Amino acid sequence: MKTDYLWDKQGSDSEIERIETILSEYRYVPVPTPNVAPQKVVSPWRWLLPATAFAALLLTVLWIGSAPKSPVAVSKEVLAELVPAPAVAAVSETPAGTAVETPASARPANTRLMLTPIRAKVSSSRKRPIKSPTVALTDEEKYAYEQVVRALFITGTQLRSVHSAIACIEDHTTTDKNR
Amino acid sequence: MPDIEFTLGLARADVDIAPMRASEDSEDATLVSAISLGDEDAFSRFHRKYAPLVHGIALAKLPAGEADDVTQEVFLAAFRGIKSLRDPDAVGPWLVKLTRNHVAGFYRSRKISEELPDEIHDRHSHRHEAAEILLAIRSLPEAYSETLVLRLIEGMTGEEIATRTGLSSGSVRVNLHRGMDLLRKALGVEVKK
Repeated sequence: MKTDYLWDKQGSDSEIERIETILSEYRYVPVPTPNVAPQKVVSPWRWLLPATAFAALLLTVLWIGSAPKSPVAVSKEVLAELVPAPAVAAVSETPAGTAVETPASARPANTRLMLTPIRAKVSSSRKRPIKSPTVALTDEEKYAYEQVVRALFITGTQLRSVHSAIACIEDHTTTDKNR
Repeated sequence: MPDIEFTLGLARADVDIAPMRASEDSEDATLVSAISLGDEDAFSRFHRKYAPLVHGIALAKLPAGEADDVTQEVFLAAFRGIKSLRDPDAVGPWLVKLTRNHVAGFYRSRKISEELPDEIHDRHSHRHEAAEILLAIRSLPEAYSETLVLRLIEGMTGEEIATRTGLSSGSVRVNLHRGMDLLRKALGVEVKK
Protein backbone atom coordinates (compact mmCIF):
# COMPACT_ATOMS: atom_id res chain seq x y z
CA MET A 1 0.00 0.00 0.00
CA LYS A 2 1.33 3.38 -1.03
CA THR A 3 2.00 5.68 1.92
CA ASP A 4 1.46 9.41 1.88
CA TYR A 5 3.92 11.00 4.25
CA LEU A 6 2.80 14.51 3.35
CA TRP A 7 -0.76 13.68 4.44
CA ASP A 8 -0.43 11.59 7.59
CA LYS A 9 3.32 11.25 8.29
CA GLN A 10 3.14 7.54 7.66
CA GLY A 11 6.20 6.01 6.00
CA SER A 12 9.04 8.29 5.02
CA ASP A 13 9.93 10.98 2.53
CA SER A 14 13.51 12.19 2.81
CA GLU A 15 12.90 15.44 0.97
CA ILE A 16 9.92 16.50 3.10
CA GLU A 17 11.63 15.34 6.30
CA ARG A 18 14.64 17.50 5.44
CA ILE A 19 12.42 20.54 4.85
CA GLU A 20 10.66 19.86 8.14
CA THR A 21 13.97 19.74 9.96
CA ILE A 22 15.16 22.99 8.42
CA LEU A 23 11.91 24.79 9.14
CA SER A 24 11.60 23.44 12.69
CA GLU A 25 13.17 26.60 14.09
CA TYR A 26 10.00 28.48 13.14
CA ARG A 27 7.74 26.05 14.95
CA TYR A 28 5.49 27.47 17.64
CA VAL A 29 7.13 27.42 21.05
CA PRO A 30 4.52 27.07 23.78
CA VAL A 31 4.23 30.21 25.84
CA PRO A 32 2.08 30.96 28.88
CA THR A 33 -1.55 31.65 28.16
CA PRO A 34 -2.28 35.36 27.89
CA ASN A 35 -3.59 36.78 31.12
CA VAL A 36 -7.29 37.22 30.78
CA ALA A 37 -8.16 37.60 34.45
CA PRO A 38 -10.82 40.25 34.75
CA GLN A 39 -9.37 43.45 36.11
CA LYS A 40 -11.56 45.04 38.69
CA VAL A 41 -12.14 48.58 37.52
CA VAL A 42 -14.24 50.65 39.85
CA SER A 43 -16.47 52.80 37.76
CA PRO A 44 -17.18 56.27 39.13
CA TRP A 45 -20.84 55.74 38.23
CA ARG A 46 -20.99 52.78 40.55
CA TRP A 47 -21.62 55.08 43.53
CA LEU A 48 -24.13 57.29 41.75
CA LEU A 49 -27.25 55.36 42.70
CA PRO A 50 -26.42 54.88 46.41
CA ALA A 51 -25.30 58.51 46.68
CA THR A 52 -28.50 59.76 45.06
CA ALA A 53 -30.62 57.59 47.33
CA PHE A 54 -28.76 58.84 50.39
CA ALA A 55 -29.10 62.47 49.33
CA ALA A 56 -32.82 62.01 48.71
CA LEU A 57 -33.25 60.43 52.13
CA LEU A 58 -31.31 63.24 53.79
CA LEU A 59 -33.38 65.91 52.03
CA THR A 60 -36.60 64.16 53.03
CA VAL A 61 -35.54 64.05 56.66
CA LEU A 62 -34.55 67.73 56.60
CA TRP A 63 -37.82 68.72 54.93
CA ILE A 64 -39.88 66.83 57.47
CA GLY A 65 -37.85 68.35 60.29
CA SER A 66 -38.34 71.90 59.03
CA ALA A 67 -42.09 71.56 58.41
CA PRO A 68 -44.25 73.79 60.71
CA LYS A 69 -45.50 71.89 63.71
CA SER A 70 -48.92 72.34 65.30
CA PRO A 71 -48.63 73.50 68.90
CA VAL A 72 -50.65 70.60 70.23
CA ALA A 73 -51.46 67.28 68.70
CA VAL A 74 -55.21 66.94 68.99
CA SER A 75 -56.85 63.56 68.75
CA LYS A 76 -59.90 63.01 66.52
CA GLU A 77 -62.04 62.35 69.55
CA VAL A 78 -61.24 65.68 71.07
CA LEU A 79 -61.60 67.45 67.74
CA ALA A 80 -65.11 66.06 67.40
CA GLU A 81 -65.99 67.62 70.67
CA LEU A 82 -64.30 70.87 69.88
CA VAL A 83 -65.81 71.55 66.48
CA PRO A 84 -69.55 71.73 67.23
CA ALA A 85 -69.08 73.81 70.34
CA PRO A 86 -67.87 77.40 69.98
CA ALA A 87 -65.01 76.54 72.23
CA VAL A 88 -62.28 78.28 70.35
CA ALA A 89 -62.35 81.95 71.02
CA ALA A 90 -60.17 84.89 70.44
CA VAL A 91 -59.11 86.81 73.46
CA SER A 92 -58.15 90.37 73.38
CA GLU A 93 -56.87 92.36 76.21
CA THR A 94 -58.48 95.61 77.14
CA PRO A 95 -56.33 98.55 78.09
CA ALA A 96 -57.18 97.80 81.69
CA GLY A 97 -55.67 94.35 81.32
CA THR A 98 -58.81 92.27 81.58
CA ALA A 99 -59.31 89.53 79.03
CA VAL A 100 -62.40 89.73 76.84
CA GLU A 101 -63.63 86.71 74.96
CA THR A 102 -64.60 87.13 71.36
CA PRO A 103 -66.82 84.59 69.58
CA ALA A 104 -64.99 82.31 67.16
CA SER A 105 -67.15 83.50 64.29
CA ALA A 106 -65.99 87.06 64.84
CA ARG A 107 -62.33 86.13 65.14
CA PRO A 108 -60.13 87.57 62.42
CA ALA A 109 -58.57 85.11 60.04
CA ASN A 110 -55.02 85.81 61.08
CA THR A 111 -55.65 85.28 64.76
CA ARG A 112 -53.07 82.97 66.27
CA LEU A 113 -54.60 80.07 68.08
CA MET A 114 -53.03 78.91 71.29
CA LEU A 115 -54.68 75.70 72.27
CA THR A 116 -54.16 74.66 75.81
CA PRO A 117 -53.44 70.97 76.38
CA ILE A 118 -56.61 68.99 76.73
CA ARG A 119 -56.94 65.58 78.29
CA ALA A 120 -57.53 63.15 75.53
CA LYS A 121 -59.73 60.72 77.36
CA VAL A 122 -63.26 61.88 77.99
CA SER A 123 -65.61 59.53 79.76
CA SER A 124 -68.86 58.95 77.90
CA SER A 125 -71.01 58.97 81.04
CA ARG A 126 -69.77 62.21 82.52
CA LYS A 127 -68.28 64.78 80.27
CA ARG A 128 -66.21 67.32 81.98
CA PRO A 129 -66.45 70.87 80.68
CA ILE A 130 -63.70 71.58 78.26
CA LYS A 131 -61.57 74.49 79.11
CA SER A 132 -61.93 77.12 76.40
CA PRO A 133 -58.77 77.73 74.49
CA THR A 134 -57.57 81.28 74.54
CA VAL A 135 -56.21 83.46 71.80
CA ALA A 136 -53.70 86.09 72.73
CA LEU A 137 -53.37 89.08 70.42
CA THR A 138 -50.51 91.48 70.23
CA ASP A 139 -51.07 95.24 70.06
CA GLU A 140 -50.59 95.25 66.33
CA GLU A 141 -53.00 92.39 65.87
CA LYS A 142 -55.57 94.10 68.05
CA TYR A 143 -55.29 97.27 65.96
CA ALA A 144 -55.62 95.29 62.77
CA TYR A 145 -58.62 93.46 64.17
CA GLU A 146 -60.37 96.71 65.05
CA GLN A 147 -59.69 98.10 61.62
CA VAL A 148 -61.16 95.02 60.00
CA VAL A 149 -64.26 95.21 62.16
CA ARG A 150 -64.74 98.87 61.24
CA ALA A 151 -64.30 98.13 57.59
CA LEU A 152 -66.84 95.37 57.79
CA PHE A 153 -69.26 97.66 59.61
CA ILE A 154 -68.91 100.42 57.02
CA THR A 155 -69.30 97.95 54.21
CA GLY A 156 -72.40 96.53 55.84
CA THR A 157 -73.92 100.02 56.24
CA GLN A 158 -73.26 100.88 52.65
CA LEU A 159 -74.72 97.62 51.48
CA ARG A 160 -77.88 98.37 53.46
CA SER A 161 -78.22 101.84 51.90
CA VAL A 162 -77.66 100.39 48.42
CA HIS A 163 -80.26 97.74 49.12
CA SER A 164 -82.82 100.32 50.27
CA ALA A 165 -82.10 102.52 47.24
CA ILE A 166 -82.74 99.59 44.93
CA ALA A 167 -85.96 98.81 46.81
CA CYS A 168 -87.13 102.43 46.34
CA ILE A 169 -86.40 102.32 42.63
CA GLU A 170 -88.33 99.06 42.29
CA ASP A 171 -91.29 100.59 44.16
CA HIS A 172 -91.34 103.62 41.83
CA THR A 173 -91.18 101.36 38.80
CA THR A 174 -94.12 99.27 40.01
CA THR A 175 -96.18 102.37 40.72
CA ASP A 176 -95.54 103.78 37.25
CA LYS A 177 -96.59 100.55 35.64
CA ASN A 178 -99.84 100.50 37.63
CA ARG A 179 -100.69 103.95 36.40
CA MET B 1 -6.41 5.05 -12.94
CA PRO B 2 -4.67 7.67 -10.85
CA ASP B 3 -7.91 9.64 -10.71
CA ILE B 4 -9.77 6.65 -9.27
CA GLU B 5 -7.07 6.07 -6.67
CA PHE B 6 -7.17 9.70 -5.73
CA THR B 7 -10.95 9.69 -5.32
CA LEU B 8 -10.86 6.52 -3.22
CA GLY B 9 -8.14 8.02 -1.12
CA LEU B 10 -10.25 11.07 -0.44
CA ALA B 11 -13.26 8.99 0.50
CA ARG B 12 -11.21 6.88 2.90
CA ALA B 13 -9.73 9.95 4.52
CA ASP B 14 -13.15 11.55 5.01
CA VAL B 15 -14.46 8.40 6.67
CA ASP B 16 -11.39 8.17 8.88
CA ILE B 17 -11.60 11.68 10.24
CA ALA B 18 -15.37 11.77 10.77
CA PRO B 19 -15.29 10.36 14.36
CA MET B 20 -12.26 12.51 15.13
CA ARG B 21 -14.06 15.62 13.94
CA ALA B 22 -17.18 14.77 15.95
CA SER B 23 -15.23 14.32 19.19
CA GLU B 24 -13.27 17.53 18.52
CA ASP B 25 -16.51 19.41 17.93
CA SER B 26 -18.02 18.28 21.22
CA GLU B 27 -14.79 19.14 23.04
CA ASP B 28 -14.72 22.56 21.39
CA ALA B 29 -18.34 23.22 22.31
CA THR B 30 -17.57 22.41 25.94
CA LEU B 31 -14.51 24.64 25.91
CA VAL B 32 -16.33 27.52 24.27
CA SER B 33 -19.21 27.44 26.73
CA ALA B 34 -16.77 27.30 29.66
CA ILE B 35 -14.71 30.20 28.28
CA SER B 36 -17.88 32.22 27.75
CA LEU B 37 -18.49 31.89 31.48
CA GLY B 38 -14.98 33.17 32.20
CA ASP B 39 -13.31 29.82 32.93
CA GLU B 40 -9.58 30.57 32.73
CA ASP B 41 -8.55 26.90 32.86
CA ALA B 42 -10.71 26.18 29.85
CA PHE B 43 -9.12 29.11 28.08
CA SER B 44 -5.68 27.74 28.92
CA ARG B 45 -6.60 24.36 27.36
CA PHE B 46 -8.09 26.16 24.39
CA HIS B 47 -4.87 28.13 23.98
CA ARG B 48 -2.68 25.03 24.11
CA LYS B 49 -4.84 23.29 21.54
CA TYR B 50 -5.17 26.08 19.01
CA ALA B 51 -1.96 28.09 19.42
CA PRO B 52 -0.06 26.14 16.73
CA LEU B 53 -2.91 26.70 14.28
CA VAL B 54 -3.05 30.45 14.92
CA HIS B 55 0.75 30.72 14.87
CA GLY B 56 0.93 28.82 11.58
CA ILE B 57 -1.66 31.05 9.90
CA ALA B 58 0.17 34.13 11.13
CA LEU B 59 3.58 32.79 10.14
CA ALA B 60 2.37 32.21 6.58
CA LYS B 61 2.26 36.00 6.22
CA LEU B 62 4.34 37.58 8.98
CA PRO B 63 7.96 37.47 10.20
CA ALA B 64 8.50 34.94 12.97
CA GLY B 65 8.75 37.46 15.82
CA GLU B 66 5.61 39.24 14.73
CA ALA B 67 3.74 35.96 14.37
CA ASP B 68 4.34 35.24 18.06
CA ASP B 69 2.91 38.61 19.07
CA VAL B 70 -0.05 38.34 16.76
CA THR B 71 -0.80 34.88 18.14
CA GLN B 72 -1.13 36.27 21.64
CA GLU B 73 -3.24 39.19 20.41
CA VAL B 74 -5.55 36.82 18.56
CA PHE B 75 -6.15 34.78 21.70
CA LEU B 76 -6.91 37.87 23.74
CA ALA B 77 -9.37 38.97 21.08
CA ALA B 78 -10.83 35.47 20.99
CA PHE B 79 -11.41 35.49 24.73
CA ARG B 80 -13.24 38.80 24.48
CA GLY B 81 -15.27 37.85 21.43
CA ILE B 82 -16.00 34.19 21.99
CA LYS B 83 -19.47 34.99 23.34
CA SER B 84 -20.42 36.27 19.90
CA LEU B 85 -19.55 32.92 18.34
CA ARG B 86 -22.82 31.46 17.06
CA ASP B 87 -21.62 27.92 16.35
CA PRO B 88 -19.23 26.63 19.04
CA ASP B 89 -18.26 23.72 16.79
CA ALA B 90 -16.86 26.18 14.26
CA VAL B 91 -14.37 27.72 16.65
CA GLY B 92 -11.39 26.59 14.52
CA PRO B 93 -12.52 28.34 11.32
CA TRP B 94 -13.50 31.34 13.43
CA LEU B 95 -9.96 31.51 14.85
CA VAL B 96 -8.46 31.23 11.36
CA LYS B 97 -10.59 34.14 10.19
CA LEU B 98 -9.70 36.16 13.29
CA THR B 99 -6.00 35.53 12.68
CA ARG B 100 -6.23 36.59 9.05
CA ASN B 101 -7.95 39.81 10.14
CA HIS B 102 -5.20 40.51 12.66
CA VAL B 103 -2.51 39.87 10.06
CA ALA B 104 -4.24 42.27 7.66
CA GLY B 105 -4.52 44.84 10.44
CA PHE B 106 -0.84 44.39 11.22
CA TYR B 107 0.13 45.20 7.64
CA ARG B 108 -2.28 48.12 7.50
CA SER B 109 -0.84 49.70 10.62
CA ARG B 110 2.85 49.06 10.06
CA LYS B 111 3.16 48.86 6.27
CA ILE B 112 6.01 46.36 6.09
CA SER B 113 7.56 46.51 2.66
CA GLU B 114 10.51 44.21 3.20
CA GLU B 115 11.50 41.29 5.33
CA LEU B 116 12.68 42.07 8.81
CA PRO B 117 16.34 41.49 9.76
CA ASP B 118 15.65 38.33 11.74
CA GLU B 119 15.22 36.46 8.49
CA ILE B 120 18.27 37.86 6.69
CA HIS B 121 21.29 35.67 7.40
CA ASP B 122 24.50 34.42 5.88
CA ARG B 123 23.73 32.82 2.54
CA HIS B 124 25.41 29.55 3.50
CA SER B 125 24.00 29.17 6.97
CA HIS B 126 21.25 26.78 8.01
CA ARG B 127 19.06 29.68 9.04
CA HIS B 128 19.42 31.27 5.66
CA GLU B 129 18.12 28.11 4.05
CA ALA B 130 15.17 28.05 6.42
CA ALA B 131 14.36 31.68 5.67
CA GLU B 132 14.58 31.00 1.97
CA ILE B 133 12.14 28.09 2.16
CA LEU B 134 9.77 30.11 4.30
CA LEU B 135 9.86 32.98 1.82
CA ALA B 136 9.12 30.54 -0.96
CA ILE B 137 6.15 29.18 0.97
CA ARG B 138 4.85 32.69 1.61
CA SER B 139 5.03 33.48 -2.08
CA LEU B 140 2.46 30.75 -2.79
CA PRO B 141 -1.30 31.39 -2.85
CA GLU B 142 -2.82 31.67 0.62
CA ALA B 143 -4.59 28.30 0.57
CA TYR B 144 -1.33 26.50 -0.18
CA SER B 145 0.97 28.55 2.01
CA GLU B 146 -1.18 28.23 5.12
CA THR B 147 -1.66 24.51 4.68
CA LEU B 148 2.07 23.93 4.05
CA VAL B 149 3.10 25.99 7.09
CA LEU B 150 0.69 24.04 9.29
CA ARG B 151 2.03 20.75 7.90
CA LEU B 152 5.77 21.42 7.51
CA ILE B 153 6.41 23.87 10.34
CA GLU B 154 3.73 23.23 12.96
CA GLY B 155 3.89 19.48 12.33
CA MET B 156 0.16 18.89 12.03
CA THR B 157 -1.11 16.01 9.94
CA GLY B 158 -3.54 16.50 7.10
CA GLU B 159 -6.36 15.20 9.31
CA GLU B 160 -5.59 17.67 12.06
CA ILE B 161 -5.41 20.55 9.60
CA ALA B 162 -8.78 19.59 8.15
CA THR B 163 -10.41 19.20 11.56
CA ARG B 164 -9.16 22.46 13.02
CA THR B 165 -9.55 24.72 10.02
CA GLY B 166 -12.95 23.33 9.10
CA LEU B 167 -11.80 22.47 5.58
CA SER B 168 -12.69 19.16 4.00
CA SER B 169 -9.96 16.54 4.03
CA GLY B 170 -10.05 16.52 0.24
CA SER B 171 -9.31 20.23 0.08
CA VAL B 172 -6.46 19.89 2.53
CA ARG B 173 -4.99 16.97 0.64
CA VAL B 174 -5.15 18.89 -2.65
CA ASN B 175 -3.69 21.99 -1.06
CA LEU B 176 -0.81 19.99 0.41
CA HIS B 177 0.14 18.22 -2.78
CA ARG B 178 -0.29 21.14 -5.16
CA GLY B 179 1.40 23.45 -2.71
CA MET B 180 4.31 21.06 -2.35
CA ASP B 181 4.72 20.90 -6.12
CA LEU B 182 4.72 24.69 -6.35
CA LEU B 183 7.22 24.90 -3.50
CA ARG B 184 9.57 22.52 -5.22
CA LYS B 185 9.40 24.63 -8.35
CA ALA B 186 10.03 27.77 -6.37
CA LEU B 187 13.05 26.20 -4.73
CA GLY B 188 14.36 24.87 -8.05
CA VAL B 189 13.86 21.24 -7.07
CA GLU B 190 12.72 18.79 -9.72
CA VAL B 191 9.15 17.70 -9.16
CA LYS B 192 8.77 13.99 -8.43
CA LYS B 193 6.75 11.96 -10.91
